[in-house]
Amino acid sequence: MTPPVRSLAATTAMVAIVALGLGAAPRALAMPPGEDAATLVAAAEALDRLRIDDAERTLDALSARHPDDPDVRFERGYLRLLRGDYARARADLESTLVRAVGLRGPEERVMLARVAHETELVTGGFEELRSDDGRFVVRFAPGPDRFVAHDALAILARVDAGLATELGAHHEGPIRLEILPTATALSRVSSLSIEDIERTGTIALCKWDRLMITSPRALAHGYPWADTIGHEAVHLLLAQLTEDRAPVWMQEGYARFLERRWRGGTPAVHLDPGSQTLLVTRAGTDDLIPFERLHPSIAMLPSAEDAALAFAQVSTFVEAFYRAHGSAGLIDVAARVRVGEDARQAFADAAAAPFSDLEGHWRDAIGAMPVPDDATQPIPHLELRHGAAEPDDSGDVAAESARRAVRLGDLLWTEQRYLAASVEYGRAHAVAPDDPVVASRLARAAVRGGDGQAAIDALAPLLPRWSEHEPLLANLGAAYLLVGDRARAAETSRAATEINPFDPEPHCTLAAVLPDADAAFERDACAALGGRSE
Amino acid sequence: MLAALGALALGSVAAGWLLGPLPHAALLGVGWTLVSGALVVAIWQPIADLVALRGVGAAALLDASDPALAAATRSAWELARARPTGASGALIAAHERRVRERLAALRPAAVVRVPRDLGRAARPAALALVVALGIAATSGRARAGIFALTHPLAASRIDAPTASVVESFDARVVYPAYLGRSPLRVPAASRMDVPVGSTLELRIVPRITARRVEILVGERRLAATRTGDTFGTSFLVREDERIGVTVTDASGRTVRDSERRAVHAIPDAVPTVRLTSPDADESIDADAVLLLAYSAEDDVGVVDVDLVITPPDGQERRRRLSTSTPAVDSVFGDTTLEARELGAEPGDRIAIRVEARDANDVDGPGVGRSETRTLTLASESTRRQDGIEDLVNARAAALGALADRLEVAVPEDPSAAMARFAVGSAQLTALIGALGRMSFDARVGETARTDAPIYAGMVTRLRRGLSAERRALEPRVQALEPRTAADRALATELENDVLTLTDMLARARVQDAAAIARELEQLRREIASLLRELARAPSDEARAALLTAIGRAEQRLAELRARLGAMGTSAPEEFANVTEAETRQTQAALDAMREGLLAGDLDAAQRALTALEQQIDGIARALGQGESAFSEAHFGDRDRALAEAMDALQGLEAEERELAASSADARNEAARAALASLGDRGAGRAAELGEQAASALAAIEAMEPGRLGQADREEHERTRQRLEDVADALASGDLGEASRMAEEAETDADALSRDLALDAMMFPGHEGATADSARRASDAARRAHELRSSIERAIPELRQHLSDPSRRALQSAAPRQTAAADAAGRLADRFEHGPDGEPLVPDVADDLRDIGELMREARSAREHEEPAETADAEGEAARRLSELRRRLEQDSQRRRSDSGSAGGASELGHPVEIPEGHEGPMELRRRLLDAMSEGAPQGYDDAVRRYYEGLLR
Repeated sequence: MTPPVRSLAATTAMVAIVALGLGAAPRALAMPPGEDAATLVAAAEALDRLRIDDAERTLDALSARHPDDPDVRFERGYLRLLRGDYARARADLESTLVRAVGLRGPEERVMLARVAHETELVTGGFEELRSDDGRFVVRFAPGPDRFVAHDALAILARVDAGLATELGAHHEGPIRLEILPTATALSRVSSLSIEDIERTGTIALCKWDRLMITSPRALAHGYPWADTIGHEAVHLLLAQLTEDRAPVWMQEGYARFLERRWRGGTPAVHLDPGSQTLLVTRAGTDDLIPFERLHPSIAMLPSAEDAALAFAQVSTFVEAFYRAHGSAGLIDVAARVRVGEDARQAFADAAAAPFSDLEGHWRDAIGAMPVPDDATQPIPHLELRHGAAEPDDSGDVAAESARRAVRLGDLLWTEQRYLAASVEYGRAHAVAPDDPVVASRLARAAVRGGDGQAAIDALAPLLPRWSEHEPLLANLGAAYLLVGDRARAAETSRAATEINPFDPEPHCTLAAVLPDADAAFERDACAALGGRSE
Repeated sequence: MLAALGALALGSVAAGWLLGPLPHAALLGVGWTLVSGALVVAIWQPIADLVALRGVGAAALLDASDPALAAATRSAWELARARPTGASGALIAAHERRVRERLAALRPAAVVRVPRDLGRAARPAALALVVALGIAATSGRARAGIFALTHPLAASRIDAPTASVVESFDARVVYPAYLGRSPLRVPAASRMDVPVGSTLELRIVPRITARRVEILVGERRLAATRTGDTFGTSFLVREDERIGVTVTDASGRTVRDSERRAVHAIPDAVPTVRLTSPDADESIDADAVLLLAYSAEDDVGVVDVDLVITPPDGQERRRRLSTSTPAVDSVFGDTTLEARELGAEPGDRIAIRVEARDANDVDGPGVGRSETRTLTLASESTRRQDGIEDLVNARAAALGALADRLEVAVPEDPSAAMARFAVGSAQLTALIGALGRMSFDARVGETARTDAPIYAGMVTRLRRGLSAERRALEPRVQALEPRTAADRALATELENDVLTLTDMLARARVQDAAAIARELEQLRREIASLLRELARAPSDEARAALLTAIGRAEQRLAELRARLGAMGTSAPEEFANVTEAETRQTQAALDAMREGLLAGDLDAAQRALTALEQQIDGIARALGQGESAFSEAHFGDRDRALAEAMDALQGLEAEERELAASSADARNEAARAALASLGDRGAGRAAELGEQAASALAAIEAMEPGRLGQADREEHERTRQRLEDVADALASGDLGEASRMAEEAETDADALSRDLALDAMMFPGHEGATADSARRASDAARRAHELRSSIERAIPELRQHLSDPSRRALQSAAPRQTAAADAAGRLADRFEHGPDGEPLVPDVADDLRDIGELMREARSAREHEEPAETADAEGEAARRLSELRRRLEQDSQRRRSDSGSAGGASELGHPVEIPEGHEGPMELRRRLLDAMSEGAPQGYDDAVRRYYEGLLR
């Protein structure tokens, strides 16, 4: 039996047992006796509120006194799940499935047991990188994901520092990040279906006190995984700060607004032209999505367009609030929500103004936003990679004659007729100078021919609009290296690896421009991923 | 000093001789004292001489050659050591510097000279040295003594006292008989290289008085037999061994001989075998006769040579190629191998190699093997692969030609322009040739006929472009502008061709892999059926058949993996998603099935079969999706046009059949009326038709009923009987009866023809037997039809016997026939000009225009109220439309499936589908035959038989 089949069968069997058990077993409270029952309830509450250290102290004592009490074991299993001890979490959680439990409902018990079971299966063979102080832990599947993990460890430290500045606190740690090799794996360890993931482009989660991102190699062209870590880390900290009381719209607003904070500077929302156009247009027709509709998750909105609009709404709202009240305002709102205040009211109280005023200011800010020049650009769509085949982005070229020339250029390139290929790419570029795929191909040919400046001329004008197009960044980095601009070469190549760390080209460029101490890793990546040897 | 060295050497040898192999400890001390004394004497004088040269003494070396310099050197040395009071330091330093300069200028040879009396002193020393060496070489006792001197503690070792106690150690090698070599004596042997299986006879003479001698061979101890002073023993050499000798003297003291000896066993080399023909893996046709040439050589001799054939079931078969008694050094030979002998089916891979055995009867025989060659029986699969290679090569040629044009601009210089043209035209000529061949192959082949016009179009356009370019250069090189335009036109054409060929290549690969997947599925069904058969009636034959089927499935799977691997990025992404993991799991299922089978665990085999089905379904789904998506993306327009044309053809056929049926009714009615009025007058005309009836009868009798199924045989017999009735009626002059019988014969022949045509589409039969029967039945049906028409034409004045309604019906349907003829013309145009301007299918347009002509004849006959002519023309038009449609459907089916025997026909543009629960014809037949063999309730045998036969048809 193949592993997925085995896993499915095991899960099915487990659910069947649960169904039988839940149906057959008499509901009898099985809580520990006396004061321990109240203590257990408090521990469970602490777990739900992510006060994990508190819960751990209590549960350690309870477990010693009532080692086989099903309620105690369940809470201990939950604690272990939050701590990342999946094998023992699964043992605890599954042991309580068919026993009478007083504290938790059957749905929650089955769901957590399933998550522990699947997570143990999925992450069983993972490797681990840990920061020197043990505060950051990155777990990943053996293989090329180590190149993501290496950078992720450094990014986590910067994220942690940046968020401490804006939200005035650190997560109590350790901060655990798991890099899941496929979207299917993400689906298995979470409550999201693969259809949800495909439809809304949700490829990362923060849940059960850990960050989970899908490896960029699971997507056809990578994705901004570094900012995604920043995004999920905001969720992690905010959940702790508010004891997980922040509603989804507030969580996403903070996260989208602060996700790039780790890069330094003043935080600002980064909207792609498609999302900005959508926001401005829908605001103009008064067709925005009510914040309440974002529950339970933006990932569960019916379409990618709705999800993009929701993110744009909540992040620009938080940005507008931040512009007026600064980070102190954000901290104040989180503190109010922590003690149970409604999020809208918390924003209003922190601003000392009615929420409708805040909403009005926000709408004014949207009204002041320009509609981007290329307003027809679609919402960026994350395309999952299906199978092992290398995705071909030549089909993304909109102009037919340019697409045709790119195809021809690619065929000639494969035959190592680089000069002829560059002629075809040049023709495509003449037709579609603003197309990032075409410009990247032309630049690649120019770099190959040693003409770095031609590559820069083709790519640099597109950078502001296509700052997340990895081939563009990779080729631009190589071109800067060619003309001797090492600083820009490093900057653009680093940006490329933060989208698709499995392209050897930017690693090779970084290996050439970074100081020796930092270049060793890049040299290794360049060689391991099959990059140029020079 | 030299004399002292000579004395030392001589003294040592003498001491050794005196001491002997086992000296007493005291004697050993005396010996060492003597040698040490000689050593001291030998080195005393040289040391003393060297000591004298210390410090300023070295100046004495200059006394002979330059006494003044010697004195100056001494004074410089002394002044440097102890400067006299008041002496000038600068002067002393200058003196020393001068001395140093003069010393530096001296040649060493001028200072250190060979003493004049060296020759006199050397002669006795050399003599002593020679004598010492001579004694050591000739006297074993002296050598033994020297060993004892130099190893003073060896003889007293408690565990293994060692001394040089063997005077001589001779060996005699007796070779194994199969080598046919004479024994060899090896005197004073210390290391011997002998073939494995040799006997080593040893003769040992101890240096001391020995009571017993033992030979240590590895861990074995062999006691030697005494003959006089000599001890002897022997042993068989099987492997490398160290040989030791122990000697026990009269006092019972056992000493091991100090010399190290060893024997190295040389294994017998296996024969060297070569398969010189075929010299590489080959693809062979099913009726091929393969020439095998081989050679085998061996030092011992080759006894026999076998051809080893490994068919798909993995069970090796051997054929003896040669036997030599006695063995011969080398064998060269050739033989033939018929593909039929291999018992393989198209697509199977057979491994062959040649093995030779040598005459080694000791540890052999040694078996040498040639390289293994893989023979692949040509199949649709290999032909598809050939087609793919053609496409790859054509695209590479087109890309090369295009790249050259893009990389080198059209030069202004006329001679450079001519040179560029020469290169470019050669490339294009080669490309045109390749495309022309591909067009021809596609046109005459059974598959991909629709590709022929695409290649032909490329050829035409490239030729045209090349001619235009030539005109711009010859006879006179024109201006740059027209030449550039001609170049650009050709480059554009090449670009189009490259893209088209790329799409065709990807599609061919997709279809190829999908076809292999279908084969896999067919094999799975065969395996399932065989497994059931094995479970019901276990037998070695059934097991062997099952293993063969599994072997074939493994080969198809290997092919599939290779093809998928070769696709790279040229195939659509969806297609490449049939990952290595999926095919690996399929292989695992086959492995599990084989293991279960070999272990006799049919349940395990059945479970593996279920897993296999799931894996194959997964592969088929992925391939089907890829094929569908790809065809839609790249060939959508063309395929859609073809599908629409096929729809139109079907509509036209239906219309013509309806018209033909109505005119046939009119004709039949008129004929019956005419017959009723004819009476006996038809006798004369009937005789003329006798020959035609005989011809129709001969056609039906040309079929072989033995090749037909039961129901078809009955139909055939009925047809034959009716035609005989026709002949009899004609012979008796009864045109009426002849007409009725001819009508029945025509009906039966039509039914037989139709049934066989259907069968042939699904089961072509062995060597196309069913297809052949279908063709013959079709011919017989045509003749029966012509016979009936002739009979009816022979009945005069048919037109006059038409009823009014029939007359009106004939007339009124004439416009419909006109419309049908026009539609045929339009349809011909659609087939002739596809969306890309190329024909959808070659030749179809001409056929349709011919059919249109028949329709116009029918219209004319209708207008003239000629029922027989109308019915004939319309019947023929309908028949030809039907034939054309079937041909196109078969083309389409072949294009999308591997062969005519593949599963259900899939329509153009539809994905590969292997429906759930679907049983292929083979499987169904096998199941039904199984059921038939189980018998039927008494009294229902015939009914059950007919029921089953009906299902099988």
